[in-house]
Amino acid sequence: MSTHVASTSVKKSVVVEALIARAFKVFTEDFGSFKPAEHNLLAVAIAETVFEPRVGGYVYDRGVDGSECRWARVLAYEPPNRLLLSWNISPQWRIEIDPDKTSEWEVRFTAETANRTRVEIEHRNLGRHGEGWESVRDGVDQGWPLYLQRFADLLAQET
Amino acid sequence: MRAPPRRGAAPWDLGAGPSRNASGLRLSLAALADPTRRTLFELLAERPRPVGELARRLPVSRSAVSQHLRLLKEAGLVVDRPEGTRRVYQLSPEGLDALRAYLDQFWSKTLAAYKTAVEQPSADSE
Repeated sequence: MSTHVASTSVKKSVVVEALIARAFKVFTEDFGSFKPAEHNLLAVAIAETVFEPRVGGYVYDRGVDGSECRWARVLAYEPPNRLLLSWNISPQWRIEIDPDKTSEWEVRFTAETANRTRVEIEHRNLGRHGEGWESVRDGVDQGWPLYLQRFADLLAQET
Repeated sequence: MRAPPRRGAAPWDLGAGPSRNASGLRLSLAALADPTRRTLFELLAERPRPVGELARRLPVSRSAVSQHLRLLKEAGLVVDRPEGTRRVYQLSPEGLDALRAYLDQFWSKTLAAYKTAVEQPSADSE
């Protein structure tokens, strides 16, 4: 009862009425058009979100003032079936530069029929962000209030 | 930007979530949706604190604070330990629930909006 063991992954899926090739293309090329707008680490509004379509590329937000935030790195790029990216955002809502402390998200595209595609996302290895939680616990980090505010904003939008 | 998806209209799959995970998430969300509990959580984010100290900083009774702390604990967001005659609370070192809760919502929203985008009748198909 006292120990709550949290899963270290999040899984989501959706079935879309589209060819697998189009499903993949829209996901990568138009990522910025459907990514939640509140997902923004920049100090200013986002002018555009770029998904660089190659291994080693980044997903980054460019602010209206030209500043950039590279928050995901492309680890696998296999059109039209699969994507694997890192998640370089720490629990303190900052860019994590240590790859050992990033989680990853995989996107799989599966043709269910000719014009129907299942898209599955698994965001896993959340435990790798663990260092952050320890620093929070030790009280040396002030990131939590900001993170909580983001979280609260999300909650407010949900209701 | 395209219009955001209609809330509740998108038939996204809630994922592989066995009900235990889903209910755990709902518990976390509910726990942090309350302003008093959020304040408690923020105070504990600064450092571990005993119940009495938390109660002094909030305009509610000590028993109310204890109740809020119990709920945060049940949600897996904080843990407690005895220290002499006191009980000290701190954020759960395994506190991944909040991050999971954020990502859960992030991906739900993203996929719902993605579905809307990809199913648009060739508005941007060349």
